[in-house]
Amino acid sequence: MKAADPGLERECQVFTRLLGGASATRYVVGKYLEAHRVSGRFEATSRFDRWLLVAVRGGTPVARLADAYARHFVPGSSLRSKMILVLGIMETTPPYHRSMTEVPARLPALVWSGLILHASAGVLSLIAGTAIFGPVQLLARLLGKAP
Amino acid sequence: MNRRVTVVGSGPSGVHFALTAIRKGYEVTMVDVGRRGEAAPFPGARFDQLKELLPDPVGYFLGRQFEGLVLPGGGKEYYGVPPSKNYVFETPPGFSYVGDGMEPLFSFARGGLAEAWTAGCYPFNQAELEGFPFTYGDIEPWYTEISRRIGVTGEADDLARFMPVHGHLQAPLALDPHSALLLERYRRRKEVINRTYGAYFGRTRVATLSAKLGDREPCSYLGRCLWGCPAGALYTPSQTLRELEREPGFRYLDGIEALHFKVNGEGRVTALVGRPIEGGPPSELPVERLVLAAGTLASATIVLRSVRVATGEDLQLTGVMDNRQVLLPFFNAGMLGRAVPVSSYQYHLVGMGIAAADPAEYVHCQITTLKTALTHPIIQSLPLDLASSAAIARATRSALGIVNVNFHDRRREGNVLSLDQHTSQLRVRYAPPADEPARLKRALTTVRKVLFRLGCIVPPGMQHVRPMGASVHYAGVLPTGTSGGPWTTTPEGRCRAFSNLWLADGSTFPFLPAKNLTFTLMANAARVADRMLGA
Repeated sequence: MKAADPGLERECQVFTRLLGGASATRYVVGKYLEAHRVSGRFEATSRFDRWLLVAVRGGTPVARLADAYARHFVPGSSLRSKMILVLGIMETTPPYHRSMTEVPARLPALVWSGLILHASAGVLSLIAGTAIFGPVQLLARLLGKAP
Repeated sequence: MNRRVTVVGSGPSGVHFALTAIRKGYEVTMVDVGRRGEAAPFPGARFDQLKELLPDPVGYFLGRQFEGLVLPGGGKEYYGVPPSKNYVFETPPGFSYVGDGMEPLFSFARGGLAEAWTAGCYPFNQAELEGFPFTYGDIEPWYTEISRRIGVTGEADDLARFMPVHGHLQAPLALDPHSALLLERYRRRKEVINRTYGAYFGRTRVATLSAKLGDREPCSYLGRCLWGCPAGALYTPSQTLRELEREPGFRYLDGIEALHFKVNGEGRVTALVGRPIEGGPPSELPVERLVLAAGTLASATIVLRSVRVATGEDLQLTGVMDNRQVLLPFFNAGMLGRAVPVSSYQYHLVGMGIAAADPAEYVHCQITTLKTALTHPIIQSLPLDLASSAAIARATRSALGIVNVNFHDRRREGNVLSLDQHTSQLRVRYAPPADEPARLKRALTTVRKVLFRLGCIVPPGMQHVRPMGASVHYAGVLPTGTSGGPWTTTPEGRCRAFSNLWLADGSTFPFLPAKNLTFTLMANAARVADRMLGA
């Protein structure tokens, strides 16, 4: 039964830590499991997609690189859908929503610095993600194990 | 003399026709499916406070089936229908249609599709009314009357060159900092923007109260417009329906889907046939005067079915129209570092109009700055991983906005409503005009350049051309005119094929300007009631 799937709970914890910097509360985990129960939109779309899901359970660094890769090369993957689900849950749920939506005034110079930093981190994640997951997907295709 | 009228539909046209008729001393029976939504929870709470107060905030904001979650491949919309508004689009059992080139939305809710509108109230000007059998001067008193009934805010600014200033306008709503900055920059550069691009800025006209009106309180800036204004400051037709229900001459028959009407040998409508939504056989309601105000597609379906039942003929109604809409997200560097207000009006406060060589082909833009909203649709559209994208979206939140660019439409014979040969299912066939791509490209380039003049950039790849049907501004299959065939309407809204059938919705519009048509639907329905029922 999906509700008791420890793999799903582990995914939820990894994604929440990656996107919110904190552990998932019982409510968040409960909603994550419920979404998988009531909606078919989070089913893996390919063998490679399933493999990605197993890989991201390894922790936040892997999840970040896999997500960066999936954004461009497997945009309809269940990995992306599940991470967006966690994002949607977090932005509507206390206490996470505050850190996502409350924006106090800051010096523009600080904001620009932060933007450059985040964009650089994003580009580096994409490069690293492509270096790691690109060959894996290519290999899987060559072996006929993924579309 | 018999003073009874039967009206189908409780949308903006239906309720304002009915209210006008009631005030003229007529008895009105309104037939409607009438799906109801739930009352807004915690009516005094702001958007952010609501998340703290609700026992299941995810259930409220994303829905019990998580249908409010926007996922990749969802058509690149930047917001989804909130679950609290699902009832607006819920169709009766067995209802379906076939769309070819258009994916229309239908509503069977109390108040109709306008229960989920963004409250834009833009009167058509004389150039836009050129094909109508009446002038702006004829309909102006009804714009003023509707404004008095529902409360419209706005002012006489540069946009007045495109939308006349009628009576009973309330003062505009308070501006959020981003909208205020856009207007301030426009004022500084307006000469060059007006001269070079033919673009003009001003306050959008919205049916949201800035001052008390009757028992309705003014907007308290809770930031919950999309989920349903809990204070009733944002007008929806169900408010007028509630007002009607207090009138002794008004009878509301809900839970009934109008299927078709019956006609006698003299071309008179004798009865309306409807089926109970909860099941059971269809029943007949005798009628003296029948007014279809169910919205263009639903009213047309009733006409098509009635003709098939009466004559066996499969009629085709031509000329269905809809506004093409394009969404252009933008980034305003001048807002970077500023706080995002927690108390704000969520919808558009500023508009832009772009003049065209033919004044009727004016392009209308509504500018919504990002304040309270769910941002996961925006975050996932950025070209980086979600953690980086979420951080960037948060840092730039105060600087983001979206322009909804609206284009006019004309009646074309190839755009047809008909019934399936074997069922009574509606078939909608629509193709845009051949010059549409060039027209869109020209206008969108202008919008980008004007935004750039205001210090804003449109990130590449973020433009979204919404599919036909998405704007829900349907019109045009039984056009009004001083003369015409049986499937046209008189200036008073009477269908020329029948002596006692009137149409009071967008189906009679011979032209669809770039503006939201809802305000004109209400004004025209009141005008039709006045002309039809006399003194």
